[in-house]
Amino acid sequence: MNGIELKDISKKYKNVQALSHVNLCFKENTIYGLLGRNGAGKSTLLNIINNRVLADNGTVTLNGKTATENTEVLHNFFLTNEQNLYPEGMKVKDAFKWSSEFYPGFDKDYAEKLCNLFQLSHKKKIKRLSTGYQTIFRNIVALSVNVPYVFLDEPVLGLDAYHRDLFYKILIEKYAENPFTIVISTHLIEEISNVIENVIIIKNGEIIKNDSRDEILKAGYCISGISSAVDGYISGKQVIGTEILGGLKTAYILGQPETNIPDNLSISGMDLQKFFIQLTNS
Amino acid sequence: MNLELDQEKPIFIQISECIEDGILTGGFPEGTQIPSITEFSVNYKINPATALKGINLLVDEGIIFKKRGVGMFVSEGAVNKLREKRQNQFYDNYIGTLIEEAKRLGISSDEIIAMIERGFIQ
Amino acid sequence: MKKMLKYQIIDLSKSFGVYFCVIIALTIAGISFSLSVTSSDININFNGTGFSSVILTFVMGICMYKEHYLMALQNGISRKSFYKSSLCVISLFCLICSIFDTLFVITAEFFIERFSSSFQILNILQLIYLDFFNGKGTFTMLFTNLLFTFTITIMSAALGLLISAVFCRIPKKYRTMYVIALPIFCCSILPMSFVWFPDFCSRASDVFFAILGLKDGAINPFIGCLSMSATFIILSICTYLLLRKTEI
Repeated sequence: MNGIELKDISKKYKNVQALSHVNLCFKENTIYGLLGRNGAGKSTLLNIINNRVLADNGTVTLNGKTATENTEVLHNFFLTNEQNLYPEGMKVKDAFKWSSEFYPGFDKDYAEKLCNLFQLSHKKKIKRLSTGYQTIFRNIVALSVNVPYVFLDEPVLGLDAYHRDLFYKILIEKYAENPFTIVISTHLIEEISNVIENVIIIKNGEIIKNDSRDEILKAGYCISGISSAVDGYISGKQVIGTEILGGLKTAYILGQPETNIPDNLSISGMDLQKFFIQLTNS
Repeated sequence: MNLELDQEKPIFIQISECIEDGILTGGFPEGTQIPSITEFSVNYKINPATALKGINLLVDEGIIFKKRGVGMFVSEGAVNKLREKRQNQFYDNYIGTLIEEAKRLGISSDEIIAMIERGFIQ
Repeated sequence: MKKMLKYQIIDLSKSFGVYFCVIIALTIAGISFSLSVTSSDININFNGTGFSSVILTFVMGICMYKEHYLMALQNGISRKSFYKSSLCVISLFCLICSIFDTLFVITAEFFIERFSSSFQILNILQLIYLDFFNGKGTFTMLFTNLLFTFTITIMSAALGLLISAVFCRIPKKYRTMYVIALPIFCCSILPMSFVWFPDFCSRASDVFFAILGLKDGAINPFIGCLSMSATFIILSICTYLLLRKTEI
């Protein structure tokens, strides 16, 4: 099978089960959104794939070859998260130089072009950059590295609106010209909802949803109206959440709406963020 | 061209409708090249596959044609084709909703006709 | 592994380059000063670079985790590759240090001392293993010096690496305690134990001197080299066992 395959991955930290029997596949040339609440296990999952954390059980393979502790396979992956693993005192341009040593496909010219766009001076030391600019630096490396599987853990953490917008545009442009697999883990669901093709939702260390974004959005709808009317409509249906405001009620329902909706009810689509919130609130 | 996308309709349909609007208003004249998939996806901040899907809808309807190695162009006669298509859809898209809302508010059909005539004068 | 090797070598070359320049500069300063001195009341002694090499390689071992291990994991290098590369790099730089030290001794003994009577290079090794070197030629002395410096520096580098590997494996809340307790133990408790447990410590120190090849009647620096190599192997194995499971 072409791509990354995770089989039965579990990880426990002291008394907390961070991941539990996770089975996932990441195909090539696809953009994935990895969504989950704080502490759901997203970062642990990404760290395990990229050999930073060791799973208690299970395997991670790329096209059948084990990825764990295998430099040859790991050179097809690249992960950025909020940890700065570059040495104290290393400058941005040195980091680019060494990235191109470790990853021969690294495009230095493209990285410098991005530095100009984001106004990042490449003579600065990485540790001296502000939080936002450290994130920008890591994103630039990830976008220039040219490996088939890039993992971005919170790539817009600390970025202002202009930089976030710029980042998404650059990401899409890069992907459109040379497709590769991108796995984005983020809390800003609305912003990436149109960029991702597949959605993976983690809750308490388990995968509760793994589907294409279009299927997920088709899979549900919202019904709003007077509480009594809504209650009448939703009986017998799979409701994943409700909101009440005075006498008005909104219900989030899985499935296809009936062809005839009563006049006193209004129906609307469920966007990804609403779907995520309703699915993951406990 | 309105760059706002909502979650009510599938994105690729909204993309193709935006291109149709552009063709109808003269923004994309017949025979000229339209922006590439990359440009559409970057501008709307959407997945290129979605942009491609939207454009392929128009290719299937004969509104757009692809020239290999060059790009995508508006077909001759696209404007007329689109006008016909939109006229056919006009009742479902607008009249139907109008009548539903009118019924909800208790507006009679005579009152609606008067409103429409007033609208055309203004 | 080659890429990691290149990175580590280039990174360490900078620090070692500075170190060698400083040593050479200090030596030249010492020589010039002694040449300008005419009074016989002033003597300048250099004890060779052995001790400072041990400190330098120890620090190299300690810093290797933070500087190189994290960079390895960021760039998709496995822990095993990093470990192999680190061992190669440690051996390489310790060999360079021991060659430098030996050259220093040769230069000093054959050239500098001829020109200045108030400048002396004392070879610590010769002094400690005096009985062994009696009657042995220059070549034996130089070869022993090379081997001894090499084994003591790789052992100190491995010790530094192990100390930082332990630091990284222990839970965060114990780290401060570890950092404070280790020097206190080595510098206060260990020496004080000679006062508290004199019999045990004298027997322990007898064993210690024996494995260093300093037992009366069996003074031999090669025994010391052998023990330090064995210690290096043990320390390296322990480091690997810890490194294998270190997560970030």
